[in-house]
Amino acid sequence: MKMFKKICMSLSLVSLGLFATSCNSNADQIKIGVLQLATHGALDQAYEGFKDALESGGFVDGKQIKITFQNPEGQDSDMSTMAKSLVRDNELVLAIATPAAVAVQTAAKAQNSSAKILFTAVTDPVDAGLVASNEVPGGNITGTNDMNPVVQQIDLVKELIPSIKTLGILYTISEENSKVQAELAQARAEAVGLKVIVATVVDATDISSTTRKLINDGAEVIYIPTDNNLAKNIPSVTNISDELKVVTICGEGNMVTAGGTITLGINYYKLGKLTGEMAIEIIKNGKSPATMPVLSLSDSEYSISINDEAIEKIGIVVPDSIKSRISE
Amino acid sequence: MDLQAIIYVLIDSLAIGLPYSLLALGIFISYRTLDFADLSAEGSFTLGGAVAVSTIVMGVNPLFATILSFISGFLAGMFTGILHTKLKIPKLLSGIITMTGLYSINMVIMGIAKNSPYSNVIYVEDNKTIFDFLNIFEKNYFNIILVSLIIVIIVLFIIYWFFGTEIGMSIRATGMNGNMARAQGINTTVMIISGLAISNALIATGGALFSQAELKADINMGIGALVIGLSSIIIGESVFGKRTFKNWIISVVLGSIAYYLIIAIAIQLGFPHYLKKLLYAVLITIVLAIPLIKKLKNRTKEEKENVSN
Amino acid sequence: MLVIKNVYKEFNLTGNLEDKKIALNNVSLKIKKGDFVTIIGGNGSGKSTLMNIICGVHRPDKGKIILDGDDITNLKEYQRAKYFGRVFQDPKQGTAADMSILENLEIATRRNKKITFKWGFVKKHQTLFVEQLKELNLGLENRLNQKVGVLSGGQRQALTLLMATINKPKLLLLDEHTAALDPKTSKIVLDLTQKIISENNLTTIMITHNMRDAIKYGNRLVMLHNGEILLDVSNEEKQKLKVEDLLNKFDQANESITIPLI
Repeated sequence: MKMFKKICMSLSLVSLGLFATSCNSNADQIKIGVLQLATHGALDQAYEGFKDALESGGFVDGKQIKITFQNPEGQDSDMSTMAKSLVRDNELVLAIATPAAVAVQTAAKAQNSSAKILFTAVTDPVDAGLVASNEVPGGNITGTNDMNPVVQQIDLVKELIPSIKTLGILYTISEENSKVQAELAQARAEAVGLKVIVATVVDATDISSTTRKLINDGAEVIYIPTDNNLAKNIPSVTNISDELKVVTICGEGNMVTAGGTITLGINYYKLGKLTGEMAIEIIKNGKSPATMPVLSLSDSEYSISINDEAIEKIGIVVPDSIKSRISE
Repeated sequence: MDLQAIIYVLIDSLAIGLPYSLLALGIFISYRTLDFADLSAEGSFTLGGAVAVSTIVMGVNPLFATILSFISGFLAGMFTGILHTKLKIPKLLSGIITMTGLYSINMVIMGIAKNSPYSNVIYVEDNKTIFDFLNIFEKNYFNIILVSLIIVIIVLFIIYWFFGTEIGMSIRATGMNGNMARAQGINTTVMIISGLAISNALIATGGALFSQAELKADINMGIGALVIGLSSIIIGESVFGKRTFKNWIISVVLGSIAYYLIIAIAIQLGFPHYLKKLLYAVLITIVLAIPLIKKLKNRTKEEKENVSN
Repeated sequence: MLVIKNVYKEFNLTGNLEDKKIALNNVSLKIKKGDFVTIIGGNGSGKSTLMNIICGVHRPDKGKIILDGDDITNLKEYQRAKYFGRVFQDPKQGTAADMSILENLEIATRRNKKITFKWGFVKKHQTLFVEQLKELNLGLENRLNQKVGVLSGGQRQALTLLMATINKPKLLLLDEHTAALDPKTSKIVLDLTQKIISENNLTTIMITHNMRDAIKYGNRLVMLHNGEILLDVSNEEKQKLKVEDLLNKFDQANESITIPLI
């Protein structure tokens, strides 16, 4: 009997809370849900780009559309609940980063939902089971991938330091995306005649010592893919690498701002915008994700950025061929 | 719209709370029954998921895969128990050692199914999960809840029966008072190892269910498992009581559901995400304060009655 | 029945030679079936260590423990439990606080049996327990399902006593079991102890710090001092003993020893 009372009490609390929040929805607004894996420079920028693209296309949050944004900060169980809720309440859901995309897809499957799903900042959608193929997704999910121009990045290394013989690659062992990029980087590096040493870290605590060992083992330049753990802790690498005059070439721009030396990378804001344009195709022109191929930024949209302080500390001279391609 | 939203919030918390209640029950056995704060939980939860998904991908029947998860957790718990009882390693450290070792082991397990030395994630692609067996509802979503509920109820019966057996009572006595247990002829070493084995077996099964619901297992899925389990236990005890053993274990399950109900409410309330954790803390505190407020109310009522007499 | 042969036990907590403490120095003792031995001694005399070595909590560095012809020196504590009933000094030690009186008693009935997957509550036992609890005269027979934690110290010791004797152990070991109780309760428990021992003809070793009790109860008195047996008197000789005799013996042995208050 007591338990019954308690359950009733909890239910009334719940209803109160929900009543309070559901008072301000407009039936004509197109409801869009967004699930961002965690707060993170690149992911934040993608979201900004997405919103701006929608605005440019005439879809303003609060007017023509209503965006519900959720961020589980990496916690799996929260992400699962958020995905379920977003899929249920929205006709279009944007998932930022692979785990978020998988969670949204799973929720949609379980609910037999007809919601359309877009993803961004996913490195390998086919491997993650999100699409049947990049050209013909086949289901109700499509999006943009942030596959790093790894090949071009390795080529940039050779352009920056023509005399290089040994390349070090550093990534976090628990990140699938990083592993994929590292393998591509190794393949390209060896193809252009470089010796490759690969080193992995488990979390934030072993970055410094692993960096030091990598350099001691002979790495003249260190390649760091778009790795969440390393992106958050770039100084742990650069404090050591800058000191030892070793260039760090990173997977994307935010890592360079944080201290990495140079990158030829994806502009996540632009990637988000591209995704936003796909969203407009879906909500305005009724296109179906099944036939919308997965897009990525074109070659011309890659931007080179450098960190002046790092360049000075390391004491390297940037060739003009590169200088001219540096974008703001 | 409102009523529907409320129902869905409740259902969402069941969808996650039920699989996770196995985690809470497992931690209940080690923490409350054996008085052992077992940190292997994070490793075992992931282990359960890794074993379940890997074997399913390799073609094993999902029910059997879940049983394999159970067994793997059992072994992990045994290991922690042996570290503590035979090697005399302190309880906390024993759990930490197992958890640490399992990190690598889990990655290797997830790699096997992909023909890779290791992997930090593995997806259930087109394979069937344990939730596909009871296709009663059109939406698999409800099947997940139904199957989880059935499994949890079965587990509750088994736990209730087990701790009423001679061995079960001996394990409880060991956790309460090791000296007394030994003086009554109980082999406390075997009891501790068995208790931890069962505890982690349940935790791993919880991981197996969760990973099959999410259609993936990944190396980070166990993060926070111990805190979630403990929170569920304490919320359950405070709100639903622990008068009898039967009452107690049901409270643990309800506590797990309540924990996720709180989270689901917080999500529905649409708080800015960076304030979310603060909201959880506040909501959990309110929930835990309910029994205290009731006690105060009863006490002031009594005092008023005494005065008027 | 119990032969303690040349037992030597030292403790060395810090590892330094000077800190070595010899708890039992080549102690030998033979206990006959039916003996009720009281053991007294000052702090550090070795009496608790002796009991712990008999029970298996500690292993002797040298020497043997032989029970009814079997050498039990190498048996683990829980393996010996089937022979011994024990009551500890701390009332909380002998019972599991969060379990009911019924559950504690059920566990005690299995002290000398193998533990299986059978259901732990035996219906037949209930009448037996109620009967036995009635004999304690503490009203516990009506509270079978109450958690032991709410009982008073004296009640818990009485219950522990019952648990220790319910399966007619070969030896009943009482380790200052009334030391933590107030005088009134202490007497109740001691009377109970005497009653149970006489009714069941139990061989008993009782450690006590109370010299009057040591003289009053039992048929044999052993005094330990600095890990050695100083005095061992039985029957008529024991009955003639007075407290001053014991005090004198203490003084003789060590003039500066602090004697616990009677």
